[in-house]
Amino acid sequence: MDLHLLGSDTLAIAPLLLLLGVGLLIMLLDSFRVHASIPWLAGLGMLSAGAWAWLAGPSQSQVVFSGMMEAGGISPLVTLFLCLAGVFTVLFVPDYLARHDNKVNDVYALLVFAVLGMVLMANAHNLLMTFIGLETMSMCLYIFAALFKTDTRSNEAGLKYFLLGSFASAFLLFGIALVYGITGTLDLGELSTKITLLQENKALFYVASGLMLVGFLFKVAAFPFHNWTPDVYQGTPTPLAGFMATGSKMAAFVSLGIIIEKLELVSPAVDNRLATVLALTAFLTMVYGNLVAARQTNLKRMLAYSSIAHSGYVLLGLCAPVFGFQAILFYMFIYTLMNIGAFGLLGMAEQRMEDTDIESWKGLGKSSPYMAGAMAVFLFSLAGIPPLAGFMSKYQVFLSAIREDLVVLATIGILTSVVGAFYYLRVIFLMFFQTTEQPSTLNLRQKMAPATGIAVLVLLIILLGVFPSLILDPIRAAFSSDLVIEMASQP
Amino acid sequence: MEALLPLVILLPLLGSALVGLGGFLAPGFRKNESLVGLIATAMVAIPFFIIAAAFFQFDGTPIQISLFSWMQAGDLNISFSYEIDQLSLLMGMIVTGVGSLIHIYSIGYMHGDGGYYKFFGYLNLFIFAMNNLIFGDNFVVMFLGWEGVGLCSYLLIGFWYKDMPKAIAAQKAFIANRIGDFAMIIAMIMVFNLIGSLNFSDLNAAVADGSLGDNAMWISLLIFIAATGKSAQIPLFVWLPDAMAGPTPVSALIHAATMVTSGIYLVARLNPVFSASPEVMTIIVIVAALTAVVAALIAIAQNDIKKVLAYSTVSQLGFMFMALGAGAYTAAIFHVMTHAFFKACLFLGSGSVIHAMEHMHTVEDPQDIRTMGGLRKYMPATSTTFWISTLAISGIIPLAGFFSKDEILTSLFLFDESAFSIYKIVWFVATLTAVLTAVYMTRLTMLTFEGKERFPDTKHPHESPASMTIPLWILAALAVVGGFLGLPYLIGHGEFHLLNHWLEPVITNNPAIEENASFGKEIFLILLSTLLAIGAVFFTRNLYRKHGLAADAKVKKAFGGLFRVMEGKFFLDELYNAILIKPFMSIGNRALSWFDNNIVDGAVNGSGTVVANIGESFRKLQSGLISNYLLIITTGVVAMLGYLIFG
Repeated sequence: MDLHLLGSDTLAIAPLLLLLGVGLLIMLLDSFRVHASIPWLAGLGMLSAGAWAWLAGPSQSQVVFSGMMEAGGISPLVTLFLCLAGVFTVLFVPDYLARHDNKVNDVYALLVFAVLGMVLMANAHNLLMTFIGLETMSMCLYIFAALFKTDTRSNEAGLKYFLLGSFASAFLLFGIALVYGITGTLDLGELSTKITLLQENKALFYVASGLMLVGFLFKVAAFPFHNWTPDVYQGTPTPLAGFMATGSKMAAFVSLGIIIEKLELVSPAVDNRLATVLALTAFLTMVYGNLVAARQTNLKRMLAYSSIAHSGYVLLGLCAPVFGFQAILFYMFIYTLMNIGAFGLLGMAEQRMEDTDIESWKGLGKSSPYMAGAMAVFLFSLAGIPPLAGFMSKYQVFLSAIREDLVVLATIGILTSVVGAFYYLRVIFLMFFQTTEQPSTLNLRQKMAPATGIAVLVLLIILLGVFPSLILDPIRAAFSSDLVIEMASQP
Repeated sequence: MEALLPLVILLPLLGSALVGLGGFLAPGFRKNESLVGLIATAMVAIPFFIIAAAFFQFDGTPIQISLFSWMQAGDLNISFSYEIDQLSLLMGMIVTGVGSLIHIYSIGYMHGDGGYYKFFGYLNLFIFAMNNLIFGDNFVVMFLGWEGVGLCSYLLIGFWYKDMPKAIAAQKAFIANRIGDFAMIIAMIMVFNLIGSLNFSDLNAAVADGSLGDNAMWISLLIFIAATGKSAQIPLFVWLPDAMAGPTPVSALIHAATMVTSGIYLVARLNPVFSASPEVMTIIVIVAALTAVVAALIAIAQNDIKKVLAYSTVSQLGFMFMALGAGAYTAAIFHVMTHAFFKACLFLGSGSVIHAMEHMHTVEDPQDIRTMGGLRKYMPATSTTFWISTLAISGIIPLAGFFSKDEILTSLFLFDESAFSIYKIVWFVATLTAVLTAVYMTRLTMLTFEGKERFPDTKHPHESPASMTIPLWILAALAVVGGFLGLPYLIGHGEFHLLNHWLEPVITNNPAIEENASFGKEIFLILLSTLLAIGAVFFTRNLYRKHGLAADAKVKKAFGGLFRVMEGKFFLDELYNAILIKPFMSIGNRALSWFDNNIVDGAVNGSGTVVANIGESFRKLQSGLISNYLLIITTGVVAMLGYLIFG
């Protein structure tokens, strides 16, 4: 390999290197006791990594670093989305930690590393890189869950997440190993040329792809691999739980989407059984998530179950190749905005444990109308009520499913989202239409950074609901320049 | 002219933003009631004048206005585009015209209310959504408006949300409408799947070239189900009477004149689809007739002035759907228009009465007609306009209600030639309902305005301010002359049915009605309904003049056992509670608690205990749970791999 090539390869993954540098710098600064600037550094670092990827990334898709990573195509956009998830999260974290007397500055380094892992995972061109990215991300998330060392709930969350997560990673690794066993390669590009070979070893291929699927389905909290979600989210510091529910899912879904496209897992011409499994999982996840969410009395748990339900909708999109993939990228971005907003706002209100009970949000519309209004926007959007962005993202997913003749599944999706609207609206109802004798006990702090975050998120949700093409067009353009996915989808 | 048309859509939105956000951010502006009222009214009145100008300059070719492309996905292009044609212009005039009057009225009515700016913000937002519903040229824009009017109605019903019943009424309306919306979404999916487009014109064209086949039936049935929610027909009408909890101008605008007629508008807009599915038309006509007669019977037994008007609205909506079911789309739209005039006038009049009763502070319930009586003396303008509208809705010739109702009855009678058919039965029920209408409306007016005062005479009620009475007079005048837009076929063979000529390019009525018409039949029908209406009004008036409130007992006796059913509103709420809500809740609860205990995490219980038992028990629980979780995951893996390998 000549040096010139190495140079352009390095340039192609510059955002990753930037993230790495920022993460290391934060750890360094922390040991020199320079605390105040750390959150800023983390935020700006992630923002510039995202911006760099998007503005300076190669437009046509290419494979770099001896086939390990992919650059161009959809990867700049995915990198931007993942970095933005980190940036929005970092706006809420300092205030939250300060209020809980926790001064662990490592959390910012971990946040940057988590984003690094996600980007690695979503841009991988080799299953090994996928796994390394996933583990990098997961390690950081395990620590997030256990961040409050003295809180039993946080300990419980960390341990549970770690044990179950390792269990799921083992499935994924085993699946990858089997793929290697059949084909002798882990390169996704090469794998897509060996589909006939995979098809010949049908039983082994099923086991391999099934096990890989389990690993991903665990990360995205799909039924029946979801049960860690409520406990872990509840124990995790709230803004970081928001990050967990969005960034890690986006990375996992993109990675899964790429694998599905390249190995043609749901292509009707090749095989139907995996498509059935995926469709069934989507169905169960949508139904289960929405039904159980409706029973929750704790807002954080409700959002956890709601995130399970949302995974179901994304899985529905995955059942519909290419168009569905475009739709879920859009969906995940919008979902990231709404969920980080909702979790962030919840974190701003949270002082004691009871603060996450739905009951204590009663009458908030009177005591802090702005914050309650913002929460209403997030919840309305999560419920998929037009003209907010959440409607548009659901619409795109259902539309892509209908295009692939998954009408029954799409109808069930719509039906469950109608059921789902109930529990979001219940919170809004409590906030605005229920007046209690004493005003809400919540003390919503309006510090500059989180308040700005909320304002930006609300504006984006409204803006993207009315002008979805602002994001949809770049997504479509990215897909049409992604030759690998385009080629794989050709019969 | 065309350049101004986008303003019809945009101005109400701008007004809503100005008034709502302005009031929210600037407390000073919030206090300035006259400015708030002026802005909000102007943002509806200006669109009215633009639509009116467009109406009179209209040259017969529909105008397309595209604001911007909303989303593009492959071959599907959905844009915020609007179609200005005969039907949408007419409907738009009604909505913005009546809307302007109600805005003016609200300036006086809402005076001093803490949420003044909010009220006008919502009201403008409603007009914006309604304009989207009317002018949208595709399902998506229409559906946005459809959802938007629902949302505004929900917000406005719960406007005084400090009372729990009002907040509950808002929820009931919301849920009933959700059921309808679900049908609408499925209809949209079907349409898109079948013709690859969501434009109304494409759908109508697909019916015309026969490519839709049997599916026209399913689409029209689903759209009708959606309409039963929004337009309050059996079985989803229960929300409308409860919706009267909102401020009275809202009842007049949303729950009488405009929003509730949007289902009828939609059916008329898609008239080729419905004409292609006679089975659905029969269903519509039966459901509508049942709704009309049931609601009219309930109205007789109510004592709340707004409840009577609410059931009357349900009943009149039934008339409109009967017209649709007979394929007489023009007649339905005609009745939408005349009903908007007289029912808005009646509701605003009732608001004026409630306003006066409230300000006396001597009666417990300012809406109970049993504590009114003799108000004519104190409120001449309100009582005169109320009487005019009462006569109009009762179908007294030559007021507006006579012409539109007569046209509906005629269409039902002339639908087929056989002496005994479903449509003949429906005609009979409709005629009966018309008589009942005259009875309950006359009773309401007599008990409210005539006879002796039944409230303590320590204080006197006062007539409302001019900002409230002027809209009443305008609406009453329209209720008098509005009918002349559609003179019966009898006169000059339909030449003077201006509405028919106007709507001809967009609406194709059932041709059988005209074919079956003859001079003898028509004159018989006109005479019959005239005599019945006049007779019913006179009979009821004399009864209540002679006996006053005691006449209610005579009515009760006349209806016998049926009266208890009427009083109990046919026990529909109880019925729904027993057959739908309770079993659903109990099944849901039982299934879900089984879910909770056995399948779901167990952590729902677990996490509560975790906090309580730190230490030893914590560890035990913990390990128990994790292995539990692993078991579930492993079961999932085994099931999945089992299917993949052996399935």
